[in-house]
Amino acid sequence: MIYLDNAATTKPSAKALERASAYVTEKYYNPSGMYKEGFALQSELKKARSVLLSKIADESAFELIFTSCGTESDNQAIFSFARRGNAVTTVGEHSAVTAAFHELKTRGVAEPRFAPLEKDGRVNVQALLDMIDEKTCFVSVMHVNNEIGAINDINGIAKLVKQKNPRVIFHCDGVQAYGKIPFKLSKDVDLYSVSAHKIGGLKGVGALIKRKSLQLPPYIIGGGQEGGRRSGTENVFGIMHFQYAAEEKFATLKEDFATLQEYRELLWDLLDKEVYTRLSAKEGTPYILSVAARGLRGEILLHMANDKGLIVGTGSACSSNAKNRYSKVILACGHDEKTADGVLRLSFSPQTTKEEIVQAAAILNEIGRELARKMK
Amino acid sequence: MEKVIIIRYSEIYLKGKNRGFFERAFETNLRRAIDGFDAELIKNSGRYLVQNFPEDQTEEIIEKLKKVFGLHTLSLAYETSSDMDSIFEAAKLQARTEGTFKVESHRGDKKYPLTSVEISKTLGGLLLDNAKGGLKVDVHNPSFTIRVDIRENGKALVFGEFIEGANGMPVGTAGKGLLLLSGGIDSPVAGHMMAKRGMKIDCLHFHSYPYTNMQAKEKVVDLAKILSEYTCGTNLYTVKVTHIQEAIHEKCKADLMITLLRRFMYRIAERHALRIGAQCLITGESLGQVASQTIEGMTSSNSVV
Repeated sequence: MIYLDNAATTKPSAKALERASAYVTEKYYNPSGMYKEGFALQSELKKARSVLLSKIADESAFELIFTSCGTESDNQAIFSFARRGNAVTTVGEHSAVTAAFHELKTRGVAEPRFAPLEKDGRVNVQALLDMIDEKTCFVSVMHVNNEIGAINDINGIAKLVKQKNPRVIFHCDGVQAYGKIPFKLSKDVDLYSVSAHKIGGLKGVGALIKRKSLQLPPYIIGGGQEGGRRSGTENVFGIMHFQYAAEEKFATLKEDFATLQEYRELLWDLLDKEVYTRLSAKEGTPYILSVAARGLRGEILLHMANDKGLIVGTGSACSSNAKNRYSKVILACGHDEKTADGVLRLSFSPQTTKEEIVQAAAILNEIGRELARKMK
Repeated sequence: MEKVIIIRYSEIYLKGKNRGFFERAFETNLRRAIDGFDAELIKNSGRYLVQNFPEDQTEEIIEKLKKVFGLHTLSLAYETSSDMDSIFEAAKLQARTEGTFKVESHRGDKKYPLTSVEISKTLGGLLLDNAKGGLKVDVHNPSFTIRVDIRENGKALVFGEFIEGANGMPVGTAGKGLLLLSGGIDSPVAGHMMAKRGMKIDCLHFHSYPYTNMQAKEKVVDLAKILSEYTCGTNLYTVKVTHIQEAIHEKCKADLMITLLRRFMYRIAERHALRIGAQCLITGESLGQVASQTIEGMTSSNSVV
């Protein structure tokens, strides 16, 4: 089976699994325990925290809080800081952000505002800035778009946002960027969400990176773990696995970036242009190639590819259950419904091989032509 | 004093010489419903009693029984010895402390020293005294009713309310039908209605993967599971009609697609019904519900069977 849905989730690192296994079999203690064994885990978690944070941020200015997933990190950021006036985000966000923004309106907490996108999927920065006024309390812009792969210049945008209104809290959903894109957080970014399972970690582990001086009200209250900001017994095994997986991922980040850029272009070169239109820009993440089989249904192609041993995505896996048939993100990029209906998201990992790319292209061409013939 | 569940049936009473057949099916279905619980089912003068079950399973057992067709009403009762002191103790557990009430009594044991009216009067008086002014008698419009049933074995049943059952006829008494289950709400409702008349139901689902998704099929499995709680189990068969759909698409006029596909589905359904011994096809067709459900379309589909 060729797996090209790595933006949905990636294969967990086996090496990290081996290294972390002791945290299930031997060091299964509660890190809050007053005994030596529990305390030892505290310091190992501290180290994991530091490793994971130092990869993208200055440890003297930022800190990291473990959560259960990227969605939780996004939700905690939004519901903790979007509390009055208006809150601004983009129409390109993951549903973890958009649904939470709609909820702000339902709860009567803040007025949500959604900035439009450029054709390539990046946020229209000028339009975003125009939406920000003196009543704006919170802004959230994703780093890498999960459907189309566009990369937003987060530090640049955060700087402009703070210039317009310095009291704004700036959040970024970095789930598709962490461990994949060369990047360091600037001081203008207040909060940054990451997730383990997108880079070879396990599902059920995420983190919220925050500027140290920012007071974060707790979202889950209880035993006071994570400095009282996120209670619940720490997922020691998951966190240690996250650390090891991230170490592997960051060690080869630049090489992977270059290789996957090459593979993405190779795949696009091999695809039948009579069937497929490219949606992802060259400047986007090399981990995602979004294409549209105009006039065909992406979901049918997904099933056909599946039967031939190729796993692909149609959009964000988290939103494919939604009633809305068309991706809002694709429509927001200015594409019509016929294009939005035929979207396939092909997403890669460093484990993806050149042979798989060639085979995948052959399968996609075959099924695309077959379905086009049947649909005539 | 022991907690029991009284089960009453209604429509089966109307049956004449073959009433036994209906009762046996009903009893089988009741036993199936309480299978897996630590409970005992006994027949008792025109009704059934579930007894010897653990207290904490009461709600769960009642929920299961409520899904058995043929069951008219249920009551949660206390079974006591038939002396007035014991009846009073049981009644206290059922009675509220405020509001209006009445007592209804019935004697199966005609040798019992008190008449039904006397039982009601005596027990009503005891409950009134016990409530110390909180209760009042209202025989026309009471806020609750205490019911006493004196049985012939020296025991009495004391209970309060009637819980409505699923009614209808026991599944298994009116043949077998094949339900064309689509994934919408109409077809499971149609199946439920036929099962309520005693029909055993098997389900048939058509899909056209890869044009339809796996979630849709999963939903049908979930629907069949829910339906099976009422139909004493069911078999779900699925048929892939992708190749038929593609052939129609290739060879026929586009506007006849739905009608032609439906005709093929009906043909397949009829064959399958004969194979499994089903005597009819059940569909959730509803005239005018969706654009394709015209009388012409429905007649056209039916005419191939």
